[in-house]
Amino acid sequence: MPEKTEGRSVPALRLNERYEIIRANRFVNALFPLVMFLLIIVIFAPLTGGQFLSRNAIISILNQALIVGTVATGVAFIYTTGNLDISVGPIMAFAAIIGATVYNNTLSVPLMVASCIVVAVLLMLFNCTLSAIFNIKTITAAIVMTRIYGAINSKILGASTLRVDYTICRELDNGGFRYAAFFAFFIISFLVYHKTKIGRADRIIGGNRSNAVQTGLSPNRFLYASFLMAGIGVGLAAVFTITRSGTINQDTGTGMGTDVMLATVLGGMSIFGGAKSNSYSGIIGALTVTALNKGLLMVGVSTTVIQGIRGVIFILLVFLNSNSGREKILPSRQQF
Amino acid sequence: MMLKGKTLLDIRCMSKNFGVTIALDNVSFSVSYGEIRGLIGENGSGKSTIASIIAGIQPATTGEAFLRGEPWKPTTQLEAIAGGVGMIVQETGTIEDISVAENIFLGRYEPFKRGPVINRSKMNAEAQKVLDLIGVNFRASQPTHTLDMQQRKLLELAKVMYHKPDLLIIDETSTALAQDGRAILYRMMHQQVEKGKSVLLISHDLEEMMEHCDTLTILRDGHVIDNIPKEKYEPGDIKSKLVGREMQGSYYRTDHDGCSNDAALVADCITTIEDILCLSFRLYKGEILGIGGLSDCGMHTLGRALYGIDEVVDGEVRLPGKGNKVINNTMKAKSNGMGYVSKDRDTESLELNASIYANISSTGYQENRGIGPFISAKKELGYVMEQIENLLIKCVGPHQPTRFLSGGNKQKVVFGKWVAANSDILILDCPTRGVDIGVKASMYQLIYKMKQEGKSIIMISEELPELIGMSDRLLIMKDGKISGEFLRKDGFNEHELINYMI
Amino acid sequence: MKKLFYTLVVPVSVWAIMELLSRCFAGVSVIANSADMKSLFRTLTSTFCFAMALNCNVPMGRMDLSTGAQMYLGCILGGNIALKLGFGGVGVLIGSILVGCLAGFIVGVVFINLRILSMVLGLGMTLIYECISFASYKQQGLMLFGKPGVGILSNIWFIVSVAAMIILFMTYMLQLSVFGYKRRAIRGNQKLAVDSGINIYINCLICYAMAGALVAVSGVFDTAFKGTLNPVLGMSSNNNTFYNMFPMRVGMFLGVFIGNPIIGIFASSISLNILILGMAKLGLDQSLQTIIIFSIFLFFMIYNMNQEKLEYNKRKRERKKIALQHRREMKEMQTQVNRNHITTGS
Repeated sequence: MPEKTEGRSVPALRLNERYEIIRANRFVNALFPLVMFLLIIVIFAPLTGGQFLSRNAIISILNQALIVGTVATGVAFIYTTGNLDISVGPIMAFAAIIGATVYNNTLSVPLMVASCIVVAVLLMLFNCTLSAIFNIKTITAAIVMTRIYGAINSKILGASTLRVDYTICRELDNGGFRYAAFFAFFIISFLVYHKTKIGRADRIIGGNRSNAVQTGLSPNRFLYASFLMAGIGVGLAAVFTITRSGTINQDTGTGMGTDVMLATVLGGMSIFGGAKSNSYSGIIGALTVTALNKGLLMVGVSTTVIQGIRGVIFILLVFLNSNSGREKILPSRQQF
Repeated sequence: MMLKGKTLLDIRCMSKNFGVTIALDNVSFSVSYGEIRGLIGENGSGKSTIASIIAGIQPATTGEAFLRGEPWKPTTQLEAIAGGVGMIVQETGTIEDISVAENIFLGRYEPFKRGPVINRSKMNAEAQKVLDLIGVNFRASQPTHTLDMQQRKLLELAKVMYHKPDLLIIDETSTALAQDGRAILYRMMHQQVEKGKSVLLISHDLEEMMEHCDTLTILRDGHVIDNIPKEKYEPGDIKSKLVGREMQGSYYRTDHDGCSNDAALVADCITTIEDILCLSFRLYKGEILGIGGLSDCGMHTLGRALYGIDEVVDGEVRLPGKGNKVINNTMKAKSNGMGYVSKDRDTESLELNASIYANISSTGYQENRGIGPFISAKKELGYVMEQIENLLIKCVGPHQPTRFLSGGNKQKVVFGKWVAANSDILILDCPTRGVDIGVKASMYQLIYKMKQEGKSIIMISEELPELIGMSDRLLIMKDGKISGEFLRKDGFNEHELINYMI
Repeated sequence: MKKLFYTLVVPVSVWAIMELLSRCFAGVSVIANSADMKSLFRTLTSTFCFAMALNCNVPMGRMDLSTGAQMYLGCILGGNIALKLGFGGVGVLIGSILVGCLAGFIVGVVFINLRILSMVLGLGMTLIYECISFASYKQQGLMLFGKPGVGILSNIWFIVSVAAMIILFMTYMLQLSVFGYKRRAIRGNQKLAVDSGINIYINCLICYAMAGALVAVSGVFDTAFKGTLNPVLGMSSNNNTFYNMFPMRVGMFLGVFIGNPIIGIFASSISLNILILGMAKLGLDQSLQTIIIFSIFLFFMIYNMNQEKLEYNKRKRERKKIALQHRREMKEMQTQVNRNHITTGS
């Protein structure tokens, strides 16, 4: 059918179209989280009379952000594929229990680290199998496994606390082990994500699964790779959890699933994955949310209200990052 | 009865554009009371477009319509049915989760409200009346998901007939119906006319149209070509009017180059879950194999099956040039040098939110490796830029998200993906759909160039001219089978081809 | 008869298995006395209401993870207001329902306007609602133990009446009313529903409001059973939501056979609570019970999500038979043609 082009003048851009174009710009996407982080520093530094920038405060922020940031860096691979897994908290706690138990029996730090990572990886891969092979949606599988892993942890710990010799924890802590381990993991994740086909394929799969399949990419294969990376992150975070306080109890890992989501969106990435995903939003977001927490605490806001503020910010950022326009129908996703 | 012969619907100079695509160009025709008017034309001629405008599904770009002498511009289907125009659409028009009666009265339940509840028995009884009038074999109280495809189409007919429309529009419905279903449809059509009302029938089936329609309006490329009354029906004349057009010289290929005798792909008695049963053919190296037919002939399923998207339940797709490798999934297809361009480009061949860079490079992860598993940014950029430059993809830069591109440039991105991957076998399904004439020409040139390089191309298309213009060999499909095979060297005769399609 | 069978089969089977295990290993019946019966009814009503609340939105493609937090908000704010105004147990129930309904409605309004996927919105709203519940009333939550007039909430006949009213009300809303008709149409095909003039937004808001009200009922009876409802932070309210997904999902599945999802959910709620009662009789602790319950849920999900695959495989086998038959026929035809060719020598 022959077509004619029409000699129409180009209409002016509407406001929402301009917003879309700005939002799609990759430099804006990269700068946004950094701007958010700097904004928090700029707001809270004067409000706390400079205390916010003290050495203690900064170290406290770094230490707290490290655990969430490590998990978020690994879980970014999963989010990128368009999947969600909120069972990372109980998995991390379970890995920490095993790691601590191994250390207490062998007094070997390498074995402790290895067991944490291996356990976390195995559990994450099990979650992946529920999705990839048994066709259960990842969020549904995560909901079920969260309860199962949580119950297993409760069964093992009971009301008591599992302790690891605090001396060894202090040594690892002060020796910069955590920072070194995190940086190593971050560099590896960055390279795998941005420099190998895994990150690229994950983005394509998360953006449009049919397109990915037709491009010859195997969604299941890359899903397993993503859960593997996430497992390593969760395992490492389990090690950090042990060395941070030397204790593991019922509260270990609580809320990690949503903390990671919040860190991810604060870091400027959509938790629904796709083209604009990256591997560094997690740590930036973790730093931002921890800094925000710290700042609010320092100006006297209670932990309760902080949670409410986090909820509002989370919703706002997810909304800003989402692509749903004013369609006639409401968003829906059958999970069962 | 007094109104018979008088004008019910009058369409004047109606046009409809979708971006650069002109679907209707200055179309005018009228439908009288007591008439069955047929709209016939090839795929893309504009028949469904004009029908959907009349039925309130979408608005026209320019032009006017008059119903019973009054301006007619319904904004929704509800408005149209209230005004006396009801349409049975091509796509699914029923909801599985509710009953037959509930589907019929969807959005119009008021008469059945008894206080706070819906009087189901009254609703079922009313619905049963219209079902009995039509003569179907299912009950009003049945859940819709228990109905088969034919029954669901008849349910849609019942839904429309309940409102006693003055103009009943039927769009490609008979293809979903078996013999008994068609009998019901034809009976309703003639009853409609006996009451002095009218029918607008859209179908590919020329025999059916000639048997039942009082007048045939022939559309081609968005224009009305002719209005032929029943007494002047002549199949040969109608077919020639359907396809007759001037072929522009070098728009397509002008050569008569042959191809190799080596088979690149063998489809050996392949059967899919639906549509295709034991279909066999070969594709040769350096060949452009065209596959044409009506939209539901099974050619789209064939393309998907060859590439491994749809499962082949019996038979094999083999690549003789790759040690007879059997292709049963897309990973194997791609890694053995095959490529696929879907007819649903935006939903299947592209990631719209991703950049041109991300889309094109998605086929080159292996090729663009530098050291070990790491991808060389330089190589990858080269991989992408080569396609942007060679295909003249109009964009701000390689990092522009593809959703901001025009249809033609999006298609170029998809092509670029597979050209860059150096695919030996490329399956193209409706490759020039929604693409302007300039881009079409460049695509045809590209396809020819690939042929000259010894690559093999399967071109699935609903547009006969492009198949005729580009194919070395043309297979026509009908009802899941190959109904005819034609060679370029023997010359393609459009009229003959249409015979094999319809 | 068939419907009655499907309604009873799961609860009766669960009871039979648990009765056997209980008698063998613990030497007691699952439901040994009236205290057990009372306890079963109380927990069952709570489970049923929560599962019904989830059923308002989940089948519509909206997995609202803030349902648990709505319960806390509804009960703590609504219950305390009612107690302060001197109303007894019924007042607490009504107050909680009103606040819960409002809480759900607000989530619905946010959903319609922001168009964020319900599941993710739910997580954010959970953080906000938990914060409000925790901060209100000096973090005391809702304490019903020892309060005057709240005894009715533990009265078995009252509980049964409320449960019956809810069954009737939800049956009316989901099966008989115009709202239910529209809801089913929207669930089937949103676009077609919109084109037919159905207002999907109002329908969505009503679903959210109903869910909030139902979940508040669940919370009130649960609180009456335990004596107190302590507010939580850190997304702990999600535990209730996750827990009740099981009876909701199994109930939806049973509902297909029974022809009424409400009865299906009631049957699955009974089954789950008999299972829990049985496990308690066997002396299994909370953790072990959770592991068992969710493992069963997992196996059920695996079966449910692969049903389509099983049907597809069946179709595939049938299609293959047709293809092989076709091949045989083609071969015979070819053989015949060859024979004729040889015979005629043409």
